[in-house]
Amino acid sequence: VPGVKVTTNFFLVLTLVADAVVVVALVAAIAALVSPRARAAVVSFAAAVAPQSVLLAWIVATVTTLGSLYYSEHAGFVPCELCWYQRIVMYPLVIVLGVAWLRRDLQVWKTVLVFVVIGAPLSLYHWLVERVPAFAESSSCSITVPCTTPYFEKLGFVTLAWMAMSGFLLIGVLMLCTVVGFRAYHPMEPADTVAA
Amino acid sequence: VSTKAQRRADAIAQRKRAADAAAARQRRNRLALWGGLAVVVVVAIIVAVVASGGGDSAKATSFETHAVTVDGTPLPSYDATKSPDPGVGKTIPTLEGVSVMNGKPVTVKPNGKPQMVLFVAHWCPHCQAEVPRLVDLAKQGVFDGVEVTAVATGTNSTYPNYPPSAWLQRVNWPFPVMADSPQFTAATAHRRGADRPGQGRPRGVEGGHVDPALVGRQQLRTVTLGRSCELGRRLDSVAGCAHPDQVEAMVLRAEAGAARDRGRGGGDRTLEARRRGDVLHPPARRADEVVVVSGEILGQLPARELVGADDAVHDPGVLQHDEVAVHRALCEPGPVVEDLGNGERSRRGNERVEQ
Repeated sequence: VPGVKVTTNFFLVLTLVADAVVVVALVAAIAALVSPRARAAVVSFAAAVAPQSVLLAWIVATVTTLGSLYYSEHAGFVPCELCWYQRIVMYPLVIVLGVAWLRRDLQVWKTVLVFVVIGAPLSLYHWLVERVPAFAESSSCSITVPCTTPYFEKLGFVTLAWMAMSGFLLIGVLMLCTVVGFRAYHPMEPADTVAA
Repeated sequence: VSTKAQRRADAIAQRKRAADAAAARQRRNRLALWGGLAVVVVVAIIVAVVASGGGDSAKATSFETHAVTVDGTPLPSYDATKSPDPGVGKTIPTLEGVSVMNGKPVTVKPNGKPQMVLFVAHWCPHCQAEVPRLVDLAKQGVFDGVEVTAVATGTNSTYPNYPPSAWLQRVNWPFPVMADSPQFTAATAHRRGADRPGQGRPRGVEGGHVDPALVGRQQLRTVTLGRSCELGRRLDSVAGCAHPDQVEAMVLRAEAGAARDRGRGGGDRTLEARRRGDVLHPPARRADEVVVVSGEILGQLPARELVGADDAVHDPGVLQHDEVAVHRALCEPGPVVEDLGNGERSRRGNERVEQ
């Protein structure tokens, strides 16, 4: 089993890549709202990703879950209360997305986006609790494992909460690719089966 | 007919070419996607290994862990469901070990003097945040006359911020640091980390320290709750001795006494440099351990028995020599032996305090 430092740096790189994808997706979405060419490019990209998006999202959820278990079970980082809430939202995604991929079920985006809508703001709130005193004062976490103290902080902003948020957002982007990509090429069909 | 058949064949061929092209495009997309993912993973691994192999790994001494001799009965495990705490009235065990810095002997024993014993783990973020704060307080003279000893426990070379000696040197920790054994003998003797079922190893050591996030925003307040109030894990039990308002009252009363002696008021309730050398709470002079907690933490804890102004919670006559009271025993009302508002001067930094 690799050391904590190596593992943290590994997840740091993955987090930065996820963040980059999310930012590019956000910018592209905004551009698509105002430019037909950008919209065409976004749809084309989404269509290219869509056949693999459920599998990719499952990989993201699995890696995030394994990372979470690594930190708590191997590194000894006892999860705080807010960490547990995020785990409750992230862990089921491994099963939900895995089953959806096996069943070629594209409708899973409706379920997954609910998890993302809950999980991402939760992670953002936890990240703010770690950094903004006003948020920390409103939390009622325990003394022994306070939510206010991150186990590590990389590049001045990447903590476990930020990593979790990046994971949720990346899964959300992939699910949106599923919807956009499939509907672009199958406008009349219900998005319930994977073409690939 | 020939032309019609030809057109039909062309159309079929065209559709086939389009389907082949679409399939090829899908294959390319899939290849690019998974290839890109593989590249990301490989780059992540390379970056992780290279970045982790940097020269920031400090050199460990030969004493990061060392055997610790325990003399005396280990404190009983803390049980939050029991009241009073089973440790009440028990004498803390003597710990004999060596310094993580240089292997010189370090001893922790009940000696009738104010002491603070701090259990820290190098990988524990709460400890990492707490220790610099205590160093600042030490620089202000808050611990003058108080015997402070850290015990580096939970040491694991595969965990972050290893070794503890380098970490504590880096933060200029000015007090002795005893190395705990790989079996966590010292922590176990103080029943730290073994308090919860299934947590015999001091993974639990990370719990119970002063909340660094709170410490970062709140002024620390020195609260001496009597003899051998065990630090850390039992902080909730110890702090539960008094309601926050009451602790405040105790500090203010001590300040008032000091003010009369020094001719200056004590309007500000927080620790400041001007209190250099003072142990604000007079009974601290006979405390074996000093617990530093923030008012905010106290505010989160349930109040237990109230300590009245005249409660002799530190009456030396109550206990035999070398016998110490811990936790709520200190809050039991007793005969009046000391008026906290009698103008008694808080002890100066270098003064020896006789029991």
